[in-house]
Amino acid sequence: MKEIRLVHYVNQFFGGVGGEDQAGTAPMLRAGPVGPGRALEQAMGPGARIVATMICGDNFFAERRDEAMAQVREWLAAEQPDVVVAGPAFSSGRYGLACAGVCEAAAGLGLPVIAGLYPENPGVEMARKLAYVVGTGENASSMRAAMARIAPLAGALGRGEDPGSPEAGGYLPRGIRRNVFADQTAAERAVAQLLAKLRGEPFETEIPLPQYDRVTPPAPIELGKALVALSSEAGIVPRGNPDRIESVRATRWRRYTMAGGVSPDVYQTVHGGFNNDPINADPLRAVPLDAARASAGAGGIGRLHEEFWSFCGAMMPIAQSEKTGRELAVDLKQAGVQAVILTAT
Amino acid sequence: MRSLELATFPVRDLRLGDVTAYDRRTAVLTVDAGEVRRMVLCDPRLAGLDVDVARPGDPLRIVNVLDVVEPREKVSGTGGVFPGILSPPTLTGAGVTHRLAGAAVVATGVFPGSGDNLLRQENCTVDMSGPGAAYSPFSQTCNLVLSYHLAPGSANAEYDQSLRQATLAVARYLAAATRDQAPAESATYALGPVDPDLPGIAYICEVPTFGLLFRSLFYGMDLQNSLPTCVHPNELMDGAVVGADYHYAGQRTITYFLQNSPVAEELYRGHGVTHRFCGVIVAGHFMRDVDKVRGAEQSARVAEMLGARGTIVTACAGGNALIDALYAGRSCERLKIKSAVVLVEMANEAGDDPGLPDFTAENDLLISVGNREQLVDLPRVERVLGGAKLLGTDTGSVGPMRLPVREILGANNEQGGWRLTARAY
Repeated sequence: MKEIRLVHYVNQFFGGVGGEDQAGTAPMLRAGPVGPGRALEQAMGPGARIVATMICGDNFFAERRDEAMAQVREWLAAEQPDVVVAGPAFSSGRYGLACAGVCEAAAGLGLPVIAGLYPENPGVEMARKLAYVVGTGENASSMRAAMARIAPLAGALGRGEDPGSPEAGGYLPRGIRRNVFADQTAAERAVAQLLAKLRGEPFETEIPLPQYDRVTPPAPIELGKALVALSSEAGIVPRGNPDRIESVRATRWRRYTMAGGVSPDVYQTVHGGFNNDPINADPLRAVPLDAARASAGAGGIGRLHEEFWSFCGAMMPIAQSEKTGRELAVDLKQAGVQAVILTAT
Repeated sequence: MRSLELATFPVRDLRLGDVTAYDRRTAVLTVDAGEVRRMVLCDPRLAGLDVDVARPGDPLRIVNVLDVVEPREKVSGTGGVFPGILSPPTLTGAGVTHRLAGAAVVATGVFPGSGDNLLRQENCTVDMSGPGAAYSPFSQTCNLVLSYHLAPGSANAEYDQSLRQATLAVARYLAAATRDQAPAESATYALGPVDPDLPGIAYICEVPTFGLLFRSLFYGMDLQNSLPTCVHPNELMDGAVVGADYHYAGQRTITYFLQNSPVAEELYRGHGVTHRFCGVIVAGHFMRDVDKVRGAEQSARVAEMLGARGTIVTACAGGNALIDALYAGRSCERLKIKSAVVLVEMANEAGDDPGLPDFTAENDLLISVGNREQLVDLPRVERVLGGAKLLGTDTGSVGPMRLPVREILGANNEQGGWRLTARAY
């Protein structure tokens, strides 16, 4: 069987350069294992070898991150290892963030990578989607246990195998949902779990509640003097959809004029999340030009922008929503808009 | 007390032959395709019908599936199967009903393009063998596949009615072959009195009410804009609610799983042992938030009045309808009725996007039927039933092809009938 070639990353302390006084050390490459790399090689057995060890001072990585990462990328591209291991950094914040940087560099080159981190290390959040993060203890006294968990995972990844579930592979969940077949049907699981819940016994949800960003609204403005825009999520487009805005999972948005009104002769919806008939009959229910004009006439709002910002939110992944939201906000700002009325469906 | 004897006639094989008959000794169902064609084609909206058999393990793929129905026939007692469609809309769920277990009538067809972005037919495949078979519960049944060809000139509402009428009539006709025979096994279903200390559990069964091609019928009636209503689980067994849902295949509300409601079955199993099964609440969903809240409150109110201390809520469809299901769970929890909500995840292909459109802290028990966007590779097959091309494309349906699981019938069944789920990786 082919030997697994591994590149290891450690900081100046574990690399034997020195302590805090040496934290500014520039990246250096050593052949073979260094410090904890020897324990890792031992734990992996005869089928694997650390071909090189990258060492960098924690302060250097934190302060000159781009430079450090470019160097790491260059070395990894030259070595082309089967798998990369960073750390373990335990609970050390700067070292953890450096490990996350190594993960980003390796993942960018398509190399499988493992970081050993204490679950509360700030590096975990940055690394876990790119790498396999193995949870460790808080400090180096748990080195042996950490290497015992990293070694089999590195072996599997080095051989190009699927490491399996987080429990089986010994890594922290990566925030990825993957389909699997359960032993029981959804109905059987639902009833069993509900009975446990009714008895006051432990039960486990199959979908944990995610934590979304909370947006703090800015300070109020004087609306009677403001330039206000309308923006709708309802997928309103000129009839025939000339810009080919997608009905679901949309990637495009547009500004359209309201100079000639928002009439059903001119506009329609392409939204794939609701029965289109009511809005096709009266697109004003999605883009409330009539109400906005009345308000502008009565002094409720200063001026109304003559275009509306249109997008389609049906089944849009969060990452795409964030991108669309950022683009809309920038464009609205550039148009001098001070307030926006955002209608959703 | 409403009591239904459900007589089971297992089907181990299905063949086409000269006479429609069920052989009790061999458990073989023989179907006279000519008679089926005559029954169906007396409707002028239906121009042609192909009748085929698809058995577990067969090297074939069924595409453009509309609905699946288990053959059932009412043998004694008042009312009939599929009330409001094949029989008057009078109360059903009592007497004796025969079922051909392990057999299914699978309807395929293509509606003329509706032009709507939501109210339209979506791709729907069932692989009887190979890696795709594991994703569909209907790779496990002996299927009589009815591939309809529509006569031009009618509206989709009319075709929908004709296709449903024909498919349900064929299902009833097949089960009628057992009419004078004794079943292999028989079970009597009734919600009899139990130890009053056992907690009551109600089943809130959400069904689609988006509109034509994406809805369901209650005693033949469209539930759009109706408040949630209470039914006896035995009524479901007699086909009181049927699917008219041709949207995403994975999460589709399928008549087969309304007749064989996996949740009702499970709640019946433990009735008098671990809990008291209080009844079923059939709930449509709504478009506006204020209506969703009102509908959810009504579901919870009915559950409370049935004496429930727990509810299972099953969602239908994704997005919009998931919010109604989550609201129903929340409304129950606020009444101190503990609840579990069964629903589909709509993450992206990679699975690294949150899969639900709404989260309410009260819903602390969610049961996942999987991420509908994850891709599956289906190989080339020898034979395809239901159409040479995938809906609205030039892609040949023989494959090989890569599909999101939502295009496989029953893969993400929110009625609870299948085993797919998603886990954190």
